[in-house]
Amino acid sequence: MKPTDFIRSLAFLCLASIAPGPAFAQGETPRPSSSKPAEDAKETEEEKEKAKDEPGPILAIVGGDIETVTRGTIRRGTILVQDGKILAVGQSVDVPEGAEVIDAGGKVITPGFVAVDMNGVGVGPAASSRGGSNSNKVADALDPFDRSMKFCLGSGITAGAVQVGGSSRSRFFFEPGPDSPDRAPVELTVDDLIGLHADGQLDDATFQHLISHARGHGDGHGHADSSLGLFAGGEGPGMVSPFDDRFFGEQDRAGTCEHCSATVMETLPEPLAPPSPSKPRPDSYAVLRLTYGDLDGMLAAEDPFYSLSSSALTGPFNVFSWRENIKTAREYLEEREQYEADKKAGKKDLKEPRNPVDDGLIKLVKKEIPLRVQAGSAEEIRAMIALARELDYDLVLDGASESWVVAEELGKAGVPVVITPRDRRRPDPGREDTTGTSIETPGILQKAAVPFAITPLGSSVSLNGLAGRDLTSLPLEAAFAVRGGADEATALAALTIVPARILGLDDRIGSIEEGKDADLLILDGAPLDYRTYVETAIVGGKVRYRRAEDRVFPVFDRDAR
Amino acid sequence: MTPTRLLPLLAATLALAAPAPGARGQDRPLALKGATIETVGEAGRIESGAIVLRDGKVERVGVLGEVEIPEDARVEDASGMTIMPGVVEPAYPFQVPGSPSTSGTRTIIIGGRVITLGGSSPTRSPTFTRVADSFDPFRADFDPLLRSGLTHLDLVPPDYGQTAVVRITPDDPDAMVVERDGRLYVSVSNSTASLDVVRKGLEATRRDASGGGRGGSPGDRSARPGGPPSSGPSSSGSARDLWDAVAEGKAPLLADAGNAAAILYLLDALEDFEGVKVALIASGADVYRTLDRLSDRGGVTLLLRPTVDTMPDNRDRINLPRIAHEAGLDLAFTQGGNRFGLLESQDTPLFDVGYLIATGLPREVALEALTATPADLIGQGDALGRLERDKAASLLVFYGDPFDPYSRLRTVIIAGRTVYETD
Repeated sequence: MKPTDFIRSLAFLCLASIAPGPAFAQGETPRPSSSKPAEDAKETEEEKEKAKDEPGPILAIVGGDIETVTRGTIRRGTILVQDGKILAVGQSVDVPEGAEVIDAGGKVITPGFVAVDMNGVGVGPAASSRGGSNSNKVADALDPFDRSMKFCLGSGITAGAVQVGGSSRSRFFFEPGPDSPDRAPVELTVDDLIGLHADGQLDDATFQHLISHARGHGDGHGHADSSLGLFAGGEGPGMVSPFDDRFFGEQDRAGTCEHCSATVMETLPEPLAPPSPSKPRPDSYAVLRLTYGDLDGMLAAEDPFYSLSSSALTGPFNVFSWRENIKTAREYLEEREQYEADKKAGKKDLKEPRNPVDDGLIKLVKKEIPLRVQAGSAEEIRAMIALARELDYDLVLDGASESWVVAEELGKAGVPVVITPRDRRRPDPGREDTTGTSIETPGILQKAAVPFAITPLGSSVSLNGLAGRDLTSLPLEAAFAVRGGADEATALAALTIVPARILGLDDRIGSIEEGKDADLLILDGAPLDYRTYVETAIVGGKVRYRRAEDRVFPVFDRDAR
Repeated sequence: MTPTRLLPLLAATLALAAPAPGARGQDRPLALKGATIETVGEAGRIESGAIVLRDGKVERVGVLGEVEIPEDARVEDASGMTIMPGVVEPAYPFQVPGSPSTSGTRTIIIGGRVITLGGSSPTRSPTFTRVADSFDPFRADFDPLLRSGLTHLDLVPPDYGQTAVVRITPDDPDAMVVERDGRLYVSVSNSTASLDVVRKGLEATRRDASGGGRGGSPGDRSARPGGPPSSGPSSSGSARDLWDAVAEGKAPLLADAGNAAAILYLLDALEDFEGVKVALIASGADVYRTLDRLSDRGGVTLLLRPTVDTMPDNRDRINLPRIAHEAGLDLAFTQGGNRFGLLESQDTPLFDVGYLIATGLPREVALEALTATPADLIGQGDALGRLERDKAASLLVFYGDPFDPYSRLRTVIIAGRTVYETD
């Protein structure tokens, strides 16, 4: 039995014996009268077992202004939380006797923010080697004591998608050391790096830096930069030669990475111009809730979307490959259906069809998950919309910096986008009116009814003095959406319910509603005010962060200044 | 000149100049009298005591005057000194010789730093290693550890396997291995590969139990006296037996937790096996974060470094051994994971422990954590860790109190022989 359960059952027993029949706001099922403290040890065991199924103690957050996101603002409302879920919300909700009360008078309560990308948060190094032949499971690679989680919680993030694996085929080349018998560059895999990290030879920062190379996630400093095609080598067919000027600049070849001297190449199995369409190689993601210190309930979902790098869907060959793959997936589904029907009908000598593609692609075709792909320019966005319409799947567009140009089309297609209001993209010379980023993008998207989620300039928690760029700047980034013409409500939704929807978890997180997960923030001011700090972050009904105790952010009285 | 090279020279000088006590006439019993004796056993601390060593064992120990000193004994006055059992190291990392590569050390440069390759990755399935099978006493180089007061080491394999207990007797390599069949050791991190070792190991024992008669109970192995080292094929069988013993609670599982998350995962894996006793090797910060869970479970002995830690995520200093002790957890000190620290602090080998005592760790607990508790953990409680009748004569003689930074280690005696002396 876990301590929490024990405490819960204890608290429940106390509650039951002290206050018989406490008044619950919701019509809860009356608890059986047998729930009295038992003398017999065996009975106590049974009692505990029973208590597991019984509702636990209630946490009441009282007096705050509640931004529900989906149901407007409730002034001076009360939220009751039980067993990690929201039991009741409203102005006229009675606090049952015995409930633990958090006074949020004068504070603002919002749902926890949801990050569409939180690189490396809450997972141990083993998560990086997932995929391929590797048996590592995300569920076994969580790290609920990751310091980054506190930084995220402190800036309001209570859940997010973290990339797990997808880079296991990368090879790293390093210069041999002075006394090493090796003459040529030494080849290492992600697994080797994890080993070095576990031995303490590689520090966290260097490790993350290298892993981010392999993921093609930019320069390893948190800022995704798709133009830096140095290490990704592209999803496309064929081996990328380090001497191919299309991919590698002079400096790249000479110095490799200026920070770590690594050359990272993906070893692709096929030579140039392979004879058959290549299989898509999606990046794996998992959605984590930041239940600091607790493994239970931390892993919310695996593979919430089908993520491909933008290069996987550009160029005639890649698009052809993609079409073929989708077709194969569809055919398999039909065969499968036929097989199931035949089986039901009692036909014999049936051959069970084998899945020729990965499970994610099947889910995509069944429209259970969307395709998430990077599309910055208006042309790319249009191409992606057209492809999605043609092949009939749901779409989410990342880094859609020119989305303001095609807002109408996005709105009609109902495609949500992920934007970074402060991101800057240079307009093409001579086409300044229809290219490049615009500060007004959020306003334009809102007008065109394009749902958008906000992601900061960097997708990881960085402690290298990049304040204002990394993951912790997420609420600030949303404030810039307001600056660009969006309503505060839209900007808040871009931090909560829209990303929750993109992650397929809008039934659980992203707004304050009865029955949803109790992932809540108590803020000392308006959510998008740059002065605002998270006072308390609650995930799964438990307090996971207190500003005064966790010392992640400075502690002072806002009104005393 | 390294301490290692100094030692034989030192010993030689000593032997020539003045016969060191115990170094000569090994057959005659040795009596040390007048010293304060920390027996760590039932007798506790004896302020002015006497101890008689014969044939590698403690013959008598007690209050001076009450202990009969044999006529043939060489008597040595140890007034003002303190005698305590030799320090038992429960988890000393054993490098399997030549396993990663035979052609020298491979190194690479990352970010200007030279990094040594080798070792293993927690994401790969670890292989079972039996330390006793690859330990070569003639190549062992543990002598410098004597200066730190370590007399016995439980050698642990790299990831997963069976430990072996050795004593540091450089002059008598043949007798170094005390126990070939040590404890089951597993290194746990938050990765499926390492966790599956524990899960599958325990799961298999359950299947055995439900299936009825198990083949080869753990008793069979240990009953075989001085059997030859088991060869390859039997090693999987021995792993099976070891897991059985762990599942039945007969022997503790020696688990090295890579981080706090690994501790949570380990506890989850052990949830259905309440009888399993765990000796958990972990850093102070990791233990601090999981203290509630650990003390809730029970049956956990913590193997901690004897240092003052800083609290996770801030710079507050905490005496983690004390906190763990106050939370009701058993403690043993391990210094094997920090060999450099071990060698650096040799002028005052128990200074760190003394510091922990000065900041609130009960002295008896600290003493036990150095001697009796690790000895019990590695299955050597009958022979080591306490100065009592018929136990091994492995002890340390300090000029003063062992935990006083100004008192130096004077003599290390293992099995009745002086193996180290300061000048």
